[in-house]
Amino acid sequence: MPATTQSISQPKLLIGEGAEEVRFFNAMLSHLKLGDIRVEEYGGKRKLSRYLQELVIRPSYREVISIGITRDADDNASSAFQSICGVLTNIGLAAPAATEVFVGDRPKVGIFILPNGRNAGMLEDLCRDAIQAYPDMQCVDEYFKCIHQKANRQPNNPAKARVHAWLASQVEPDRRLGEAAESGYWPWNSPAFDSLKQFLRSP
Amino acid sequence: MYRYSDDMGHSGSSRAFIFGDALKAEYAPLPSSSASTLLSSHVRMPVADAKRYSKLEEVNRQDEILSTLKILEPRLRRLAVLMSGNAPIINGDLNIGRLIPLPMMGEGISRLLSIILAIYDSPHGVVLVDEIEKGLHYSTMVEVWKAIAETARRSETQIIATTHSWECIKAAHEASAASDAYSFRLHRLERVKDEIRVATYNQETLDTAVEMSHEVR
Repeated sequence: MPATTQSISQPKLLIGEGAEEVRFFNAMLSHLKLGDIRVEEYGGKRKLSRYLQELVIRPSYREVISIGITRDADDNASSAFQSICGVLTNIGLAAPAATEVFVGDRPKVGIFILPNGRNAGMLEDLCRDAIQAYPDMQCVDEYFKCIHQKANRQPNNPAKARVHAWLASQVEPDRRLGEAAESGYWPWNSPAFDSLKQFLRSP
Repeated sequence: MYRYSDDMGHSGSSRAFIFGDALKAEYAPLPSSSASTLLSSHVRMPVADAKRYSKLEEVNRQDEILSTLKILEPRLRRLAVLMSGNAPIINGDLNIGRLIPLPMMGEGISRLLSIILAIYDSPHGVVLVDEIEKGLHYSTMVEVWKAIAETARRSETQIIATTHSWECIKAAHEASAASDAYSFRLHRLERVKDEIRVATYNQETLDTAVEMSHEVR
């Protein structure tokens, strides 16, 4: 918990599930030179409703012109999207008909389901897609093949496992997604990030 | 609807109400059956406190006050009303060989005494407290709020307090959450063009604000 109270200090708000997402998005926004977006966490999908209920009574909420909501698709992107729309409707905020589209007025509301609005997965899948063509990712793939052969086990989340294995192979081996973003590990120019970048630029 | 008297001896009656998300207030000359008290943030009325304390002592309830004040001054052994010049003043016994006027023990303890006495003096009524955190150290605020809430509950008195203090708001929330029945609401007033708008926090929204350290003021 921060030592001081946090205010809505920017006209645009981007919210993610947790602290790693906040660090990741802030690094991406910094790369894109988008300085008018404040990034906050809402504490995970089960707490989105509580976060939004409180958001609409916070000081300066009346100054917010757009809210971008991000969430992991997990098993099903469509279900994740519908779940957010249900929460928005209950709160009285505009609910978009499709992902990556902003609707409503003061605030406009848009939803981005990670990794890409369509597929199951999460932020790690997006990062994995961005680095998949790296030569050293072949080493990571070989590593998991070897583990499977020798130990007869496979991680239940291959994308997450591969991304973290790749991060563990770096010179500084203990970085998580957000810290890695701040350190410039993710290739922001990868086409994998295009739809997310467009979403961040659109409101 | 409340009839009030302030520490300067002025009295009147008004009513304020939340209409939608706006605050409306108007003079209300109708009589009220409930006693109400206004405690200003900058005027102390030790004589009024002494009178209220005397009414409690008359029915042997002085120990209820003492236990509350011990939150701020654990050394306090008893209270007594003594004459200072022509005015009665509440004094405290700290076991140092002589009694000390409460105002000399600090602003916080005098403030808490005034609030608790005002609650006892306004059964089924309303106590309005301006800048309730004034003089109170942040570390004592949860216990102070618990004492205020418990006294108010026994007296069936509503407390309406103003504050700019985040610690005070958080303490009131925590104290109420620790009680059997959450009874705290935060109403933030904000000017929107020519109107005063009200944003009301309940237990759930305050939980979120506290957990995420969101500004509420």
